[in-house]
Amino acid sequence: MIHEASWIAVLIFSTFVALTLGISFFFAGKTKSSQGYFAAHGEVHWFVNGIAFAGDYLSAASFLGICGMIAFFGYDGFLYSIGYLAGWIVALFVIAEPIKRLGKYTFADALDAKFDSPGIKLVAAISTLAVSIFYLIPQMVGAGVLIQPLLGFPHYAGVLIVGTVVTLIVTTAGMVSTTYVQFLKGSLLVLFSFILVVLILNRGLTVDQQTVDPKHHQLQVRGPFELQTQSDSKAMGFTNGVILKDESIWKDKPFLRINDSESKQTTIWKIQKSKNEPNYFHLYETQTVLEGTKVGEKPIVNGLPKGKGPNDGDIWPVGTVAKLPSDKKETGPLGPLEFIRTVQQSEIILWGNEKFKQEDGSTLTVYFPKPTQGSEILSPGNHPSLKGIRSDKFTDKLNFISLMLALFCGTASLPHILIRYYTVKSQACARNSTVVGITTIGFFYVLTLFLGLGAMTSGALDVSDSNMAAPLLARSFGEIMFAMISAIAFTTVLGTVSGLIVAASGAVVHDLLSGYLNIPMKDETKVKAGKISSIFVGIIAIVLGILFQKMNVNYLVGWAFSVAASANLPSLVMLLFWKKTTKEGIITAVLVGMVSSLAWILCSADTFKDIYGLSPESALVPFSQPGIVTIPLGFITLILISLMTGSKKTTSA
Amino acid sequence: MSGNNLPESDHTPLGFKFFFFYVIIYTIFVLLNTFYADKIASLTTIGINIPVIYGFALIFSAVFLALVYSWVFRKTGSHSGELDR
Repeated sequence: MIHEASWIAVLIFSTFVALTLGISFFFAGKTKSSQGYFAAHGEVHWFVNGIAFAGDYLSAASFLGICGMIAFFGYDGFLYSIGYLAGWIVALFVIAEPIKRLGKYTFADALDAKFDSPGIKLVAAISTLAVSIFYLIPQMVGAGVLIQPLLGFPHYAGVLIVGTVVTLIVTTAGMVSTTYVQFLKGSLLVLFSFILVVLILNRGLTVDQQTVDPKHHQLQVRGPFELQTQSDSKAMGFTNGVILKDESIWKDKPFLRINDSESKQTTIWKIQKSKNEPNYFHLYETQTVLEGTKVGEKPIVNGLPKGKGPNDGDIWPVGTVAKLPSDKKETGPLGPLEFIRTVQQSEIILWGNEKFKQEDGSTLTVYFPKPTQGSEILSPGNHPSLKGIRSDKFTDKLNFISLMLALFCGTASLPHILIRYYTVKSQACARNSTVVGITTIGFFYVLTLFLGLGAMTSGALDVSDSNMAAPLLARSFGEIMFAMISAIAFTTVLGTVSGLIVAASGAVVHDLLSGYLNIPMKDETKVKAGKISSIFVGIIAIVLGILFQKMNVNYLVGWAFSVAASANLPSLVMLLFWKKTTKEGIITAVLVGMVSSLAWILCSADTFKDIYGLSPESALVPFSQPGIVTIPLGFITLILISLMTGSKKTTSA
Repeated sequence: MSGNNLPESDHTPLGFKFFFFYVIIYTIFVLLNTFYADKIASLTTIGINIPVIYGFALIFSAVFLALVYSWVFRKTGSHSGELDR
């Protein structure tokens, strides 16, 4: 969908950027020491730190990814909300206080507190960098997604702008500016998400609502027709239509292609058999995007060259309620529980898509409506990555359990979250800030279900981009709300990315250069090195953000959680609870957890399909999510190696 | 050196009880969704299906446990000034 640039959004976003940069430059003069640069002098108030936890954690994935997933697939997105929050229980009751006591700058400090081993510093730094990069990708993709409707720039421009602004934030005042940017972002995100939910509930639900389509294209539904009329175009109301034969790629597909003999245009209709009357069917108008016809040519959208002119084609906004309970046309304002109850009893038009590789090398994507009962939407197993829930295959079910395990174990293993424990003064402050974080994040995740369902029924969805669901939902309430939400979403990316870059640069300077390579550095040299490494990480983030443009940002975060949980959690937990843990055990467990989870992901069906463009059937592992195998593997490795090495006196590795 | 000696004060029995309680209710939630998805989706209470109600319950209980934990230990450790060490 082509989005109009919003100058109000530009203004609000520019104000946010100016404010965040102002904060950064204000603190720059006060951040001369490495403790100031990497840990904000350990003097952040626990309440500010708690909200900053939310600002750090509620990333583009949480806001854009989960809302998009709920808007397109319903309950499955909410499963991510539940899993992401549950992970904080591990952080609060297991990790928070000891990691504060054991560390100073990076999570490697805590891991290495009892051993003083360069080997531990090395593997912890590598793990931090790997997890941070995995986490950075979806944030940068989110930035590119947002820039299109916000400023009308292409995807790469958004990635470049975020990369540059964040690098500036981090290189000026490091963790100090990062903390206040995250505090600002966390507060605004939760506040405006709440306002958006109030607006959704106040609007209620309306049948066939079309709120934001400037051309007001009413997507057609024809029928019911008897099955035998499927070959008779006139009986289906296509006066000049000729039905094209179901040959090659179209064979046995539930689509009907009609060529209009006057306009010469071909339209594609989805054949939807009636659930209650098996001898009847409906025809639903689809939307199409044809890409790769000739190099440099515009894609063909809904039969016309992509553009905003009168003779151009664009994706039509979707997201409608087909039927409300008791055949009402609108509900009026609804309470929160009433809203969910009504969605559950309604019929809603969801959208699916199917890609067709044509003989001339072009790819035709057909977006088609899927009338779906609300009760099904609010049940698990609709998203392709969670289809296993409804599968009879045990390995498919294991995939889901594995994902939920990774989300639970991943939060307390994310380096950029762990370093936030070093920005407060005491263990009690670490505990209190975690409680503030959980409360804020929990409240936000409750809102995500309403945001997602609100977007699903807003008449504003872009079928070609699930990540745009939340900003487009805001647009259905007017330009100012759209501008605010887009600007906040952009600030969301700034907050999380700055935290990730601080974590990554801390790993490079404190763990790798100073800890492992033992390069003697004065305090101010460490700060300089931190700033230089931040610039490098920023550049890497920009490149990856452009390369991974097409992926759903939420799914990529699942990968980061799996790697973090597999590489870091076994060592952290065993160090705290098992006295026989050795440095060799920790080093091996981090390496085995990291390499095995990365290898598993790279050999998985999802990666084969989405990254390599290969058949998912040729994947080398039985399911995509590694956690259920690689997290226990990390624990077992640590125990075995520690038992093997524990009896002898060891020196630094 | 292969051992480590963390003080008892890092973790409290109450913290562990809360942690294991949450692990149990989270595990039940995951297993119900994995093996009985259709069954629990068809059951409703207050007009809303079990997966949604259970999901909200998990979020609210995490917040509730955190607040109770914070309240119980409100006088433990330094909340504003000096370092614990």
